[in-house]
Amino acid sequence: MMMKARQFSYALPKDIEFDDIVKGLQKHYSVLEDQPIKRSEQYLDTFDWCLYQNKMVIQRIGGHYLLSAFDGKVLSEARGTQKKNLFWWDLPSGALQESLRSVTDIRALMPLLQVQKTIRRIRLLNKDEKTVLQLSLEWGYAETDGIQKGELVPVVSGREIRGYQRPFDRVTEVLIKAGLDEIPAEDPPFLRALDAVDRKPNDYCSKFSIALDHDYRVHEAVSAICLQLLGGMKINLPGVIQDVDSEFLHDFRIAVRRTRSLISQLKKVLPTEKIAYFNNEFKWLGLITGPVRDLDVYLLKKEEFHDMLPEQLHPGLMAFLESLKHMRKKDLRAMQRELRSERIEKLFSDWELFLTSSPGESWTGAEKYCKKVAIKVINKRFQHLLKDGLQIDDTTPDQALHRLRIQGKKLRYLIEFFRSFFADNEVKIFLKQMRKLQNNLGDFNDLSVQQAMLCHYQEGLTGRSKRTVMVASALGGLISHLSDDHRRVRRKFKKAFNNFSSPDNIALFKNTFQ
Amino acid sequence: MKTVAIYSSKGGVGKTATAVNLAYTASLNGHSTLLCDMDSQGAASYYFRIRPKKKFNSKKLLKGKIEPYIRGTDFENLDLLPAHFSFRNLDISLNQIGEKKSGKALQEVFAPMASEYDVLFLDCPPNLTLLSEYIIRICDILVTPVIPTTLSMRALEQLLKLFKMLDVDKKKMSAFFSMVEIRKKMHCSIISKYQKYPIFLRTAIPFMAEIEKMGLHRQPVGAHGRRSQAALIYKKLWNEVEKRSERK
Repeated sequence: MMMKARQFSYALPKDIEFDDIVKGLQKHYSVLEDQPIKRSEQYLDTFDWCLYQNKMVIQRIGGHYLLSAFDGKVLSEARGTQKKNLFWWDLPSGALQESLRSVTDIRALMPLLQVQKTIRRIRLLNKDEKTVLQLSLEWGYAETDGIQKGELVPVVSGREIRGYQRPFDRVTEVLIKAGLDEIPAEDPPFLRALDAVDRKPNDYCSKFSIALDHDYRVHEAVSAICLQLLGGMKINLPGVIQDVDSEFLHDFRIAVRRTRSLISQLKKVLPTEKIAYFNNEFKWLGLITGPVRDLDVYLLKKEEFHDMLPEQLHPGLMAFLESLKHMRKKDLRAMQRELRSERIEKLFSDWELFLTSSPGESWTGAEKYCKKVAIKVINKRFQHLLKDGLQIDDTTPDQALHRLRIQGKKLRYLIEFFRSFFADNEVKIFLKQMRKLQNNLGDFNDLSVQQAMLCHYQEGLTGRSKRTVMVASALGGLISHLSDDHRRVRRKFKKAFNNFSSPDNIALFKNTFQ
Repeated sequence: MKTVAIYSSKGGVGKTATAVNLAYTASLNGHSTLLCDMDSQGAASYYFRIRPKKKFNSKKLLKGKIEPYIRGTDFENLDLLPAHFSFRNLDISLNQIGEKKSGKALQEVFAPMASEYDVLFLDCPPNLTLLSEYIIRICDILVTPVIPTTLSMRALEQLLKLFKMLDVDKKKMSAFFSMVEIRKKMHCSIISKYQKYPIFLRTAIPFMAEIEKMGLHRQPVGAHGRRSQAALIYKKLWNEVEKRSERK
């Protein structure tokens, strides 16, 4: 079995000249230098580092895409679009597209940074003028969107020629003696480039996570939580305005929703007047971003709707989705106008000021121990949830389940805000149980809303053109399918709630949140 | 893995130049290629500037221990197993192993290479020996350069007889006219008489100073990167050889 050809990479410190090293090697070998190569590469990833988390890197040189593992092994390549941001479906079908599809899904690939480098190539020759080792010196700089620019540490690399082990070993020895530090093989050049522009991988994650000290006062905890949420809003805002992909808006709205939920559920210990202003402004943010998000949800269901309908109804579905796209364009422009306004700037700066200032005397609940408040509110929310849920039977109108879902959401948000106050493992288990109920209620709500929307749209159709008939038929097909699903999900509610309200689960709750 | 033997019972017909240049062409096409220099004279090894490692010899070859002795050429995708002076006794060694085992031995030497290489070229010594017989048996295609003279045609006929004797399908053989000089009447008349036979490839390699100078420059034609007529013709030849081997 063949041994993989060995390679080495060493960082060249500032005080060592590469030419001096080469001069030293001329004692044993002749040296031939080939023409240097200049290369410009762009690295891309999704906003939430999907590729990095799967230990992959994608480079783009012109229209040529190269997907590699961290150790540099090329996994697949393809030629494709040169547009700035792209999705997996913008690339031609093949291995590369498949890999991206499974890893990035609906997130866009965005340029992370551009690397400009020069590569000097040196060949070491033996007495027969046979190349026995290929040596290269690589240097250059990395830059992001023409803003941040950082010099790359020059790297001396070598690749063993099969059957010529001794030159490889000798040169490695020379480099180590000269004081160069080896760069481990698993360290992709991409990370060094990131370092040069002062960025760290995984510096964004859509999941909410915060560690609060057990003795935090209310104002400290609210400040910590809301500053993180505000950070989430701010960092996603440019992506929302530029409409890069649907998840920027989704994450933005979740941050807003969580903020409103916290403000609302802790209102008894928050300064009433001030909070009313902020609550109103965050409500406005929810309103102006709602229409585009609603349409995104439908447009993202394209394949799902497609699979629900027989082939004859597909043209009608396509026409329907086209008209949604058209509506979205209009709603997007309106949303962008609002999001570029001074109003949102003022909201963010006022909110940040409030969260970072010491609580005034008028804020009576500020110095209360947050853990105590959290336990009270969580328990209260849980009791409401149980009480409301137990009253639901097969004859209860749908509205009750929608209210229950909101109750559940409020409870989940509270637990997620304050989970660091409680035993982590138990919280994990309880949330897992909750998720099953929430999923049922969530599905039920989605199906109700979708049916209502499609019915409403169908009722709004006028005229008897072929297109209208096609769209109406497709919508009819969808409504009918969704209605069946709706009934099926409703039937599953009882079991889901029984599991959630089981004595074991209630005991788990009591033991955990006390 | 395709095994392509470059063989002729006569020396000086352009056999090694063919092996070197076809191997180089195959590597340029992206095929992972190994060239085995089976000729103790080591001309192919000389062209690639590669010497065998001290510990290599024919015993090690026949035992199948070739992997540590394969060396990379200066060209991507192209490796070489250099010849060793002890190869001049390969026939004797094969004879000692015995008929039934020899064929297997040679097959087993090269079979493990299939996991790494797409194409294996064998540059064979110019004689009619036991080694030649076994190479004829194990290769997928045997490419034989033929200078268009009467004596060369006789040698070709002899080779066909050997194929029949060994019960090997003559479709394995692909001959081509080598070192052709159009100004020579005999060359023209031989070519016009025999080119039509299916055993002959359509591409002929003319006598070219560029090919002759390979020994001076010690690299395949076209490797210097500048436009090369010789490289283009070898490319055509390789395309034909590839197509034929796929047909089988």
